[in-house]
Amino acid sequence: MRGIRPALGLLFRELLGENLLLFFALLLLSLFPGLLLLKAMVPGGGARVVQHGILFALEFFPLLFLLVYGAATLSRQRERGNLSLLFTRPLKRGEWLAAHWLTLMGVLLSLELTVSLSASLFLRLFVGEAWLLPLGQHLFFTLLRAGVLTSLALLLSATLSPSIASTLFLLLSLIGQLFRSGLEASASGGGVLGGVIKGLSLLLPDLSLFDRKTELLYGLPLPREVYFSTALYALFYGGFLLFLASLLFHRREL
Amino acid sequence: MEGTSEALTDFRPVVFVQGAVKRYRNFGEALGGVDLKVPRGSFYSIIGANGAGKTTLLKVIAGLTSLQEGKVELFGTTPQESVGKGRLGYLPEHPAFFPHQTAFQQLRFFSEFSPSGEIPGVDELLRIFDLQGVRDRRVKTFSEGMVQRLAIAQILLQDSELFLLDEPFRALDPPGRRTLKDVLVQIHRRGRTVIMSSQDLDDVEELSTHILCLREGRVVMDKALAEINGDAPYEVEYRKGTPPGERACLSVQGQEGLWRFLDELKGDGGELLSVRKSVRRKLEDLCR
Repeated sequence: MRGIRPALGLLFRELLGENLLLFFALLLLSLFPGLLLLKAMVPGGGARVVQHGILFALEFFPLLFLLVYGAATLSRQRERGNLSLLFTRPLKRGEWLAAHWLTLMGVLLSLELTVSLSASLFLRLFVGEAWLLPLGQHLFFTLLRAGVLTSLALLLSATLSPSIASTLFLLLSLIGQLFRSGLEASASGGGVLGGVIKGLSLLLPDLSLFDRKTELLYGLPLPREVYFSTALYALFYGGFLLFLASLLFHRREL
Repeated sequence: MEGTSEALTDFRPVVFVQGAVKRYRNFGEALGGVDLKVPRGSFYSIIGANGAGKTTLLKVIAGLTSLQEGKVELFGTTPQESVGKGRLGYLPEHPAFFPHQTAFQQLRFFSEFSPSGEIPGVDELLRIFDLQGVRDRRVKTFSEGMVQRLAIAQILLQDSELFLLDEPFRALDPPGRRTLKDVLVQIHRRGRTVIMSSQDLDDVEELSTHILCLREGRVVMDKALAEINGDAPYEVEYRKGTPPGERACLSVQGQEGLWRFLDELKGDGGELLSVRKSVRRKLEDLCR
């Protein structure tokens, strides 16, 4: 495990070199005018519309970040030739993968905190409403979701070419977020196709589990089991993806 | 008993490759049953035309690529185990660093994985390879030659027992070549084993103790340099005729052939200017 610490430093510096701060700034700069526009466009929307916009951004930004910085990272290193220098050193491939996961999650945590706090300030200044979202509750679900997405990004990145990995990451994330209920409805029809779809819906990530926008917006109570089952799902599914990534990455020819 | 076991280990080849077959999906057979035994402390050069399988063989030895058939052992274990113990230094054909790191950060990063041993520090290596002036410059601004020098410096960060160098002289300027030659001679003198692939036969002749020649993934020659030297033809430089004509060169195989030619030359009233063994000519013929 001694390879992880130096790898974390290197990967973080690489992200900074890839204009990470500019990426953060662009996201924030696009968020607030967008929220003002949203507020102006929806008649009588008020604070609720803005809050919905903020929650959507908090869900969307990790996806965007992983699409830009995560989904092609290992495959790009492989194509560039970085990995043959690394893995002829006493550095395990699993350590390298783990360092990527930790770095990406660290940056995602910073991103979510920055957006949450600045959105809070924005609400107070421009909408005249004190921040009402329970931040801890929100971050719990967002980070679990980010963990699963990061594992998915690394799995694809460890096995496919950069362009295919990024495209598939976007596709699978969107399916997991938007179309999962549609897939399940199709599967309920029965038959061979229904069986295949059912199998697929079990294999694909279920990101809808982490979507608690309604409960957060309307202050609805969330039973303890929801927290527990969601955390368990994230742990097992994310862990499974990471294990698969490690297995395939070990066998990858360099 | 431990000492005895260590002593026995010393007699085993550092690298043992048996019946190595490697096929690529879009290329076909890169290695077609290669056998190789590299003794401890030797300096092996792998030569051959482009696409002969030199890089693939080095990658197989480094554990970066797997074989379809055959086996490879380093120090009596798998390549991965030897890599894990820091016994291997590998220089790829096209080394690539992380573009946003400086030369110093990059070497510092690699030095974190070095098992303890007598190794020069990062700044010392930057000085040896004339990179002190660009110590804090990002690698993405480096020329190909500078990247190559940094990559060579990187493998010296650990006191490896085996060095695998894929075209180490590629992209180096004359001072860089000189430095690398000096470093390689020092490494070899310290009893380390070196396996190098190269297209430059002068370097090969100057540095190697053994030469392996590959053609289309198969071994066509695996000999000690002294043995090749014995087989090598004589390069004869002479002048014929009265008045003496232009200088001419001839390659003569074997000692008998040389005596016969010298007798003929004497009979024709010619003048012998020089005779020398040409390993290079023999290697060139093998590389075709």
